[in-house]
Amino acid sequence: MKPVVKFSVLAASICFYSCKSEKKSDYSTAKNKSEKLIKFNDVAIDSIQLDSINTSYVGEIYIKDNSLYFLDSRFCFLHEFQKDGSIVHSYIGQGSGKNELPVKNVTFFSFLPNGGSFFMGTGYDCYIFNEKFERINDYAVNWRPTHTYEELLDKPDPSLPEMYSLVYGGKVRAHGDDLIFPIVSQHQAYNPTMKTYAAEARIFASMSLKNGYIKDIYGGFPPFFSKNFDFMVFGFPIFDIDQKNNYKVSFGADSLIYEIDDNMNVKKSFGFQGRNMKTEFKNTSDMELFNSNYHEQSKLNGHYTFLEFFENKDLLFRGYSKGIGEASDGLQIYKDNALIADIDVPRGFRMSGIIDNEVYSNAFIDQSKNTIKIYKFKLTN
Amino acid sequence: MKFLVLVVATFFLFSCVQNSQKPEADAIQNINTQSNAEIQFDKEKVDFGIIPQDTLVTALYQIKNTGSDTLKITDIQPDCSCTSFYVSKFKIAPNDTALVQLNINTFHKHGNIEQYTVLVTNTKKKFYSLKNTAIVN
Repeated sequence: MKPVVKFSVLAASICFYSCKSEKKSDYSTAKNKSEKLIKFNDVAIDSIQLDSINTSYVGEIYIKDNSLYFLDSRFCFLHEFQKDGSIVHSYIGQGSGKNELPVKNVTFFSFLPNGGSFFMGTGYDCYIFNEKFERINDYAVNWRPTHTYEELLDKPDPSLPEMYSLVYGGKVRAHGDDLIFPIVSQHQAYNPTMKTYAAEARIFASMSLKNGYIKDIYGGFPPFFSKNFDFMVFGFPIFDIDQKNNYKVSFGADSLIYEIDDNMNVKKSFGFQGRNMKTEFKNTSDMELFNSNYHEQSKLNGHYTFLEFFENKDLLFRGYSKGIGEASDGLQIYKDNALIADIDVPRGFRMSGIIDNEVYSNAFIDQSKNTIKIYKFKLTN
Repeated sequence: MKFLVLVVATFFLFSCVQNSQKPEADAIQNINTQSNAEIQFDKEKVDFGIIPQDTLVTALYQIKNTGSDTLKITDIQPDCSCTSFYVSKFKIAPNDTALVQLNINTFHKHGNIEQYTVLVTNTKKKFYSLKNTAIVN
C-alpha cells in the first residue's frame, strides 16, 4: 500500500472512530442513598409583576447577578428588571446591528460564565454576545455528519451525533467552554417510539461554545426505561452540573435522581416520587403520533419538569406536575440526598433561580391582562 | 379524502401567496424608527374556539396608520410553517388602513394551539405580536 493511501485509511479510521461516542452511563454501580428529613411542608408564595414592556408575551425569565431578565423569544429583547419587577434596561432585540440578534425566534438561551450570553435560533444558528451585549461570534451547530439519511435508515447508529437533535423545551447549560444539552433522536429508524431506543441512545451532547462543534454525545437511560417502554413518553433528562463536573440527572418518568461523574459513572441515586402523581403512562409506537401523545399524556399524568442544583447552598430542587384533576404542581427540595421539603407550587411552576435566599419562578404570562408575573418564596433555614 | 386534498391544495395556494408576499426590505434589518408612523389594530388576538384537525382557518386583522408618516411593514414572521399570510399593502399612508390575513392550517395539530405572528414596522415600537389560539380536536 502506498504511504498516501495508508495515511488516508488511517485518517479515515481515526475520524470514523472519533465520531462515535462510547461514553455511556453505567447505572449498575449506583448505590441508592435516599432518606427523608422533612423540615417544612409549605411555603408562603408571593408574586411580583414586571413593569410593562413592549413584548410578544413569548419568553422566559433568567437570573444573573441578582437581576431578573425576561428574554422575549420573538422580539429578541433581553429586558433587565430589579428583583421588585421594575425595569432597568432593554438589550439586544431583532436586527442585524452589532448589538442586535439576526433571528426571528430564540429557541435556546443561556448566560455564560464570563458574563456573556448565548442564543440559538430555529435553525441551529448560534450567537455569542459579550457582557456589553455586543455580538462577537456566530456559527451553526456542527453535528459532524458522516452519513446520508438513507444510509442511516438502513443502519441507524446511536453512537453518531448526527442521529440526534436538541430536546426542545429542555434546558441548555453553559459549563466551562462548552454548552451541555439533552438530545433525542428523531430519526425515522431510531427514536423513542421504538422499544430498543432506551438501551442504546445517548442523552447529552457537549458543544464547543467557540465554534459549535459537537465534541461528544454521551450518557444513557437507566435500565428501568428499557423494561418500561410506556415510561419513555417522559424519557427526557432534566439535569444540572456542579463545579466538579458532577451531573445531577433525573428523568420525566423516573422518581430517582442520579449523581453521575463526567465519565458517566453513576455514583449514587436518591429521591422519592412526588405526591399525588398519576403515572399511568402510555407511549406510542407511531413516531408521527409521538408529540400529540406527549401532550395528551402531559395532561393526564404527572412527570418531573425541571431540576436545579445550587452548589453554594447544597440544595437541589426538582419540580413535578401531578396530572389531571390536581390544582397544583409540586416542588421537592433535597439537601445531601435527603428530601427536606415537598411543597405545593402553582401549576406550570419552573424555577429561574435564587436571589437573596428567595426562590424565583418562571414567567407567568397573561396576555389578556398584559401582565408578566413571577412567583417567589423565601427559603427557610 | 377529497376534503384532505382540498385542504392540502388550499394550503399550497396560500403558501404561494405567502411566498409572493415579500416585503421590500430584507427580513431583518435596521429600521429607521425615527418615523412618526403609528399603528392601531382593530384586535391583536383571535380565538377560533374548537376546530377540527386538517382544516384551514383565517384570521383577519385591520391595521390603521394613525401617525403622520407612511407606515411600513418590513417583515411578517409567523412562528409556525402552518401559518401563511397575506397583507393588502406594505406601505400605508397616514389615516389609511390595510388588512393582514393569517391562514392557519391545523394539519397534524392536536389540542391547545397558540400561535404568534410578529409584525416588524417602522414605528417607534417596531415590533407587534398577533396571537391566534384554538383547540384542535
